[in-house]
Amino acid sequence: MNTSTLKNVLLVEDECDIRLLVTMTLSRLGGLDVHAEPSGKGAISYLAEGNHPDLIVLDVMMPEMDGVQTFEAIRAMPGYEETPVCFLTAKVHPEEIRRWHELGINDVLSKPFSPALLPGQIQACWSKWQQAH
Amino acid sequence: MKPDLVNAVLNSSTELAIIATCPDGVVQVFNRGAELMLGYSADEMVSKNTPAIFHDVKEVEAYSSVLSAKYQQEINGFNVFVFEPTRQGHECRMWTYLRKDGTRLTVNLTITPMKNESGELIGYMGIAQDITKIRSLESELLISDQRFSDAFHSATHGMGLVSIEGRWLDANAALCKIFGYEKNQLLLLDFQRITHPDDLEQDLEQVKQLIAGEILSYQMEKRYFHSNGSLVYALLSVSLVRDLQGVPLYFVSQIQDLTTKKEVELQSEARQRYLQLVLDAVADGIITLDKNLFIEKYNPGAVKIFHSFDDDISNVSILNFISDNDKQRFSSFCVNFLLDMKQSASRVEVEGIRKDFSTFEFECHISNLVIDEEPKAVLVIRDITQRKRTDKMKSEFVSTVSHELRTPLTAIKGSLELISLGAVGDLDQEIAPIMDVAIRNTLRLSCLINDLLDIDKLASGKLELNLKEQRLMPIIDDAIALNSRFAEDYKVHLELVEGYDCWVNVDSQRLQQILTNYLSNAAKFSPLCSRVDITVSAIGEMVRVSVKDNGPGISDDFKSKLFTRFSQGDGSDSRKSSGTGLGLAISKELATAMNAKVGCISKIKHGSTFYIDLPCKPAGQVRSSISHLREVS
Repeated sequence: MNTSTLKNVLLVEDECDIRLLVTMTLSRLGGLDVHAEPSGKGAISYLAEGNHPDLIVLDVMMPEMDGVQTFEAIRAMPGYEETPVCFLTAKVHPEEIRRWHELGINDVLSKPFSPALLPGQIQACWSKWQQAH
Repeated sequence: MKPDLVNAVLNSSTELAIIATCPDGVVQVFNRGAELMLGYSADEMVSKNTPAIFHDVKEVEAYSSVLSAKYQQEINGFNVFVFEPTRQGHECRMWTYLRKDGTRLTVNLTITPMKNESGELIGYMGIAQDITKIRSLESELLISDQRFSDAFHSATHGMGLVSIEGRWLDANAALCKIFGYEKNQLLLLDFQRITHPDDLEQDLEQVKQLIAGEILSYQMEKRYFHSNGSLVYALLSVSLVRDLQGVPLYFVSQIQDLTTKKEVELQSEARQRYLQLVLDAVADGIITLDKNLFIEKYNPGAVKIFHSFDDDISNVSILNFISDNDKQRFSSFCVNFLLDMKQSASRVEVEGIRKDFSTFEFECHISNLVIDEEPKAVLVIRDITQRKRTDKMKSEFVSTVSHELRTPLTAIKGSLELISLGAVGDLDQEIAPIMDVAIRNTLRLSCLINDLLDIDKLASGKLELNLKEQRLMPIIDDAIALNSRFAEDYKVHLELVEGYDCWVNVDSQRLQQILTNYLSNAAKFSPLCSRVDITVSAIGEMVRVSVKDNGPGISDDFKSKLFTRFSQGDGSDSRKSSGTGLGLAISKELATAMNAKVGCISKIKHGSTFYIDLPCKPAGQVRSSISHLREVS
């Protein structure tokens, strides 16, 4: 069982304000190394460059490539078949959340997020993934 | 003239009695006519004295006294008959003859003195005509004339005699009243003068036919002018009186005043017309149905809604205009209403279908009426396609705006929280309370937006619940724990007084939302340092969760509006209540979606108890509040 601590996180969020807030929350309050990308495409090329984050946080509603498309593209990349992926979304339709879990999304975190809680939620997702692997 | 010839002439006139006497009254000639009239033969009468045998003695005596008085001398006996003829050359007057069989005749008797060539009186000749029949006819006429006159003048409807030219010859009181004239004024006028010009031609045409004998009488409704200029509606009946030779004498007109009746008719016609115009002008469709749901009457609005412009849709089933999906529902809606008007809903929204098979949504209000003991349904229908479209647009707008508001709000709230959490450096002590104000208000704004999104989802039926069979008490515990901090701000203590462990099929987050709404309301409206009691207890097959506060209570007036949108109690409480007024409305909708019921028991100045009743399965054990509280803490 992998017992390493969570360190590197990739955040994909098209809205720059939220991108900044999540980045600050996770880095300043959560003590994580956060790399933020504004689009799915950006995320793919970041990973293609050989970067290997421990966990990926994806916004769902994004132009061009949305969260699900980005997720599927990541999973299709060699070496990223298992990397835990969290959705951060304002959409909380139970039916949709069920579908995402079936797709293999590890966790769904709701927007608006609370800076006080978000680092803990990310950590919880990481622990759950570690226990499963 | 030869005596034979004279006799032949005398005897040939059988209609006339010819009786000749000598100057002293002895009968000389008694002709065949006299024999037939009086029943005596000539042989019986010749040489007898007249008038003794066939005159009425009393009548002769009466005339005797008349003549005696007139000429101041005694005139009697045969002289009574011949006095005047002798003086004047002849006398013609009525007498009564007594027949041999005793019957009486009235005769017109002319007596002439007979003289010879030298002018000497040789006798008298009486020629009598039987006028009994004529007399009785005359007396009958007199009587009937009297009757007619009585009827004429006492009649309650108007009667008048009109000359052939049209002049009023006579008019009864009723007629004068109808036309508003004194009788003498009216008799100066003709009917043409007081007839409405539009009715005159027809009247004159009928008069012409009447005079020509083509018709015996006529009747018509016509208009006259009253003396004051107003119109008189009348029913006129006219007949023509002719003399024995058939020459027209005058018209008898009977006139019945229909003005009042006509006015009532006109008024009711006008009202009818007015109502019709209103019905025609209404944009809504109005339809009456018989008990088999066949259309009886409909207005142009209905035709327009169904696009059935050229068709007569009466006697067509209303179900022909309802789409297949809704036929059953609409039919039972109508039938239920007709069967049981009090219990059933009177409004329904249905999908209609037009002639061209296009569908549209319409709203239908039903009411009932009974005509000739037959129950009918009156439908008022309104095309709501446009309204539905607008509703959808509004809903989408609210949804979009709410989402758009939420994004920047998330950013603001996140930033503020990051600052207050010290993520960007330590906070000055003076800044901390200001940060609190900012955070609290962004929270409030965020709640408002969430409420708006919820209500929108609930209204559009888009809200999906995550129903799960689960234990109730943990949800209650969480709700109390989550709201304790908020209650403490108001110095209010939340206390679970009684618990009941059972299984419920709910969306835990949504039940939490309802309880939070109850608890935060209770805290807000409670007096400082008071307690809010939470009780969970079984009620039949349901479990009731109640939240009881010691607040100001709720007036009966407001109670009815409590669970409706945007309602908040008046600000009688010194603390200004915050909130959107949507909380309880959302709670009610959420509860309904979970097969639960919400309610409130409250009395002014005695606090309020808000409760939710949920269907449940008992878990078989009742936890005491104390052990449970220990568990929570």
